[in-house]
Amino acid sequence: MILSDISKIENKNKDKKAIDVKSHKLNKSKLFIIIMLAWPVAHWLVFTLFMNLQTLVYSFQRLNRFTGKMRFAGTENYMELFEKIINNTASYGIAFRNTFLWLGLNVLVIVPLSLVVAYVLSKKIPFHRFFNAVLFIPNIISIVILTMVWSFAWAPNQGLVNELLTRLGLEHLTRVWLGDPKSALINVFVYCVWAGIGFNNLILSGAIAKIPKEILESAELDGISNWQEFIHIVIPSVWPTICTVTILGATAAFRVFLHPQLLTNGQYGTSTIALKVVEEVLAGGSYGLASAAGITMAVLGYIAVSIIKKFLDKREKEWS
Amino acid sequence: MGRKFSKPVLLLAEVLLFAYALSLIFPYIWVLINSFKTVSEFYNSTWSLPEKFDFTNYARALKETNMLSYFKTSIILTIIGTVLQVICSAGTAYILAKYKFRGNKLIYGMAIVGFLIPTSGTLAPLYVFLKDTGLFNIYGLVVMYATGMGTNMVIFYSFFKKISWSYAEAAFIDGASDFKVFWKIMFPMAREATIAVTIITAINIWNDYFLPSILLTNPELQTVAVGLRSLQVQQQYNATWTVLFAAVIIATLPTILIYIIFQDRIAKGFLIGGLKE
Amino acid sequence: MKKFTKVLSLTLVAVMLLAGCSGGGKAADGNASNDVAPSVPEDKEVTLKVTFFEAGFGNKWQNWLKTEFEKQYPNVTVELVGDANLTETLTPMIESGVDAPDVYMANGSMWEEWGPQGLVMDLTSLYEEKVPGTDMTLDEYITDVAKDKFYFDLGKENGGVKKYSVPWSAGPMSVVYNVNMFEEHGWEYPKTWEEFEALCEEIKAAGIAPLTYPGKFPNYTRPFIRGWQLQAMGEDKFFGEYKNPTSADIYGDTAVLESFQNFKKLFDKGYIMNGTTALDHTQVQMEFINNKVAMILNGYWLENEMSEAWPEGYRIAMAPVPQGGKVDKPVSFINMPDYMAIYNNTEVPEVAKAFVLFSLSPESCEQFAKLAGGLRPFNYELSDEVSEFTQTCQDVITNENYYQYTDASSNPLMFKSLGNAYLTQISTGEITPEKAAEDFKNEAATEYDRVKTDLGL
Repeated sequence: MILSDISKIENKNKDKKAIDVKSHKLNKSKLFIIIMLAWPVAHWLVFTLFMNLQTLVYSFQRLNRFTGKMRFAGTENYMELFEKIINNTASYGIAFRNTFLWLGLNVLVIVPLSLVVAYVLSKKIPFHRFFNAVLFIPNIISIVILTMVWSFAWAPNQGLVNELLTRLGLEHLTRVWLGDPKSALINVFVYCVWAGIGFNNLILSGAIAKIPKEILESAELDGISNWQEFIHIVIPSVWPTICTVTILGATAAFRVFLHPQLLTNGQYGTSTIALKVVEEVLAGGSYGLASAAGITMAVLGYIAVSIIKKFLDKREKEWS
Repeated sequence: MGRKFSKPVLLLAEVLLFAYALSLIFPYIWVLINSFKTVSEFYNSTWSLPEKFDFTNYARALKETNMLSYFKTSIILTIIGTVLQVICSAGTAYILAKYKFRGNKLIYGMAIVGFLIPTSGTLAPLYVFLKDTGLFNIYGLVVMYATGMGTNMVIFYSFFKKISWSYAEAAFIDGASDFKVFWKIMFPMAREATIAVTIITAINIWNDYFLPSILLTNPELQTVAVGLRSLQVQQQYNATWTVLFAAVIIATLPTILIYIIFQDRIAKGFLIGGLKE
Repeated sequence: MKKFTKVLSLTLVAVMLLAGCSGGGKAADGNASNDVAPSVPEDKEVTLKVTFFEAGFGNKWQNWLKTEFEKQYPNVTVELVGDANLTETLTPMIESGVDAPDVYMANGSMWEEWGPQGLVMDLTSLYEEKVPGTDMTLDEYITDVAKDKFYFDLGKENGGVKKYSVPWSAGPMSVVYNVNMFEEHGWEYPKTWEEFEALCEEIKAAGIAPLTYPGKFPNYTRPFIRGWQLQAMGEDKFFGEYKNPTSADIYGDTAVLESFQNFKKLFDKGYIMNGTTALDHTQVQMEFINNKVAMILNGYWLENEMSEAWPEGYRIAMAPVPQGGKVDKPVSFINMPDYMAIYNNTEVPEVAKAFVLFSLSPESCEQFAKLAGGLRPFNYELSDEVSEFTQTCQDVITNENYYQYTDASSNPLMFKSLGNAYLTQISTGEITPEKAAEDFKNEAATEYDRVKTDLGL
């Protein structure tokens, strides 16, 4: 678990083998450290710290489009944002809701599914190498191509899926999949699952493979079922990895915008707040509103992620 | 291995996984088949096999689009971006894992914070920053990729933590400099992690769409991903889908090939270095 | 914890201070330094970078311009950059100066902001120049309808009327129908909305979808939406208030609601082809070409855009929007988002101006129609060498039996949005026309106040 790393360092820093700058070749090492860290730290200061502080600053400002300068706007942006979310103006309400639906999707659907897939594949069933290789394909192909191929497949008139349904005599099931608010969001979600399992599968497979053989073998001798093995041995053993994957998925949910942008242009009830931010900046030059939305989501996201983390850590303690 | 599945469960798993794998592959086969058709043939039927396999669309994709120059940009960018990112990440991770100094914890924490606070809103200042600095070009992109405090750093960090320090101590006694110890001894020892991280980073940069789409304004100087997207946009104005299909195949082929070659390495990299547990 | 709170509150105070400090600045600070006359120096080599939106009009006309201009001025090299993605890349180019062109042809109206910001050149003086091949100044050459957009009025406090760009292309956006199909079935294009509905019923009865439009881009319904608004408000109100508002109340007018309701009715009555909402322009245009639908809402670029896909012997025609409400003729909508402008920091302002002027000549316009199927809002005559479809397009925007108008406005206070997002949601039944009209009004009111503040009015 990444965060618990921080506490681990404290212990590991006591590791006597590490160089203690105070005692060892003071100046030379110090210079080395400074040279090595200068660029990464500067990079972080500019692209992470400065950008975030500036976002905070912008969220209290507004762009004057006729002068190209920012002016102080107080809480105007936040007011506008909340108003838009509450009244669902320009689908802001839906975008806000979707961000949290995505959180649920990433945490409660994709991670468990990936875990099941990884568990099944860990049994070295026939073709497991083939499956592992194919499942990872969405991660090596650009999302632009992936979404393009996906939209070809689900296109209403010449698309693969509708054509297939028609041939199977299921014409009543054909839909305008990506162009109907009743099916578009579900379709985008299905896309995310379809393309998202591979990566988690790889990481979780790695963890499952490291479970000591003796544990699994002795359990087998005890005659437990696959289900029991999965629930009582596999999940607790790889829990730290599950935590990492879950937290990564949770934070990713607040940044999702490319999938809806490329699949539906954010229409038909599929937008997210992150996509709204991108649209406001690139199309409208509404830096203020975009920043206020960014800050709001960062705060809500941090709270949500903390809650999830707390829950995960509690389980970890129970098992250890 | 543990307990084996019973027959029905195994059958079910195989069927489901095959269906899933097929759904991942079939769309490409569909695109491949249609890339050999003429435009009107495609609109007549998207399912039939092409009347004859001709490569007109491929020739057109290469000639009418800037495909080759997209490839050039992507290759240069991927190589430079990957090398810089891997070295920066390895260097930072090495220092943080092996040297004890004031601020060590702080810097590591700085990197971790990025994972926990979902920042989706920094686009506006980034945009203004790029405008003010004139970095709306490939140099800006290289600068953005040359980060040393991301996921890659965390992977290297856990790897360096595990590497024994005794080799370094011996080298120090022989009078090697800090840099030499890192570059000649410790970094080579992290070879497994380096390979895995390099492949993943290269694939990510090769496939990155969002940053290049914002930073690269010159239509002649686009990456493959962005170029393909503009081709897709362009199709809305001249409707030659089959040419786009050919372009998709051309663009995907190199990554697929590289993946087939390095597939084991990638999996292994995750097994050994892995994301922290 | 105490320390943390202290740091946090200090940061917040600093942020508020920073946010408050930013400059105000007044609109239209002026950029007179580049106010040179168009000319081409003969004594040195000059390269002129011309970036253009490479879309429905292709690139043939730009290539023609390059050849002719270089022929006339051998020491000039025109560097053409066609970009299908220009709508997205133009802003960073102009605002950062990276890869910035000298002259560009684009789609949209960003010049309304870039002009006052001093990023694109003030071309007011260019309008006094004689247009090559005519004895008119640009002021006389440009049509009145185009003046309604390009004579940009920032208000007296900000320097009055300014001209930051010249029209690139402007033509009808309206109903295009399949002439062969209409003749086969003995249908006639309707004059009034009643006749239009009757015709749609007839087409439906024949087993064909009556009408479609690129559903992913509801902007294509503009001729209908604006037509309904104009017909419900009447000429005076539409031009006096809607395009030149004195308060935002006009955007809550019942005409807006009515236009949204009429739009919904097209779906409710089954006149719009099934699946339309999920399709983009090429997809619906293919359906139109394949005789699956009789009429399509589209623009004068349609023929050229689909040039590779038309079957042998196809015939299509552009027709005006049916008559109704307070306007006694059929109305024809002129679309004019396309413009040419000069980057203000160009090193060759006089050559850039000469190039723009050169592109305006009647001969150049004729070539534009022939090579790209495009029309331009100037007073020139087209020869009959252009295609039948282009002729019907020209007819729609010049025929005296129709009422020609545009919704482009020279008034920055006008709320120009058509409400695309609402139209999508109405078309799919996500929201009612009533809710859409309400949201539209609120959005317009917010925007109105903001523009007023920004302009210092």
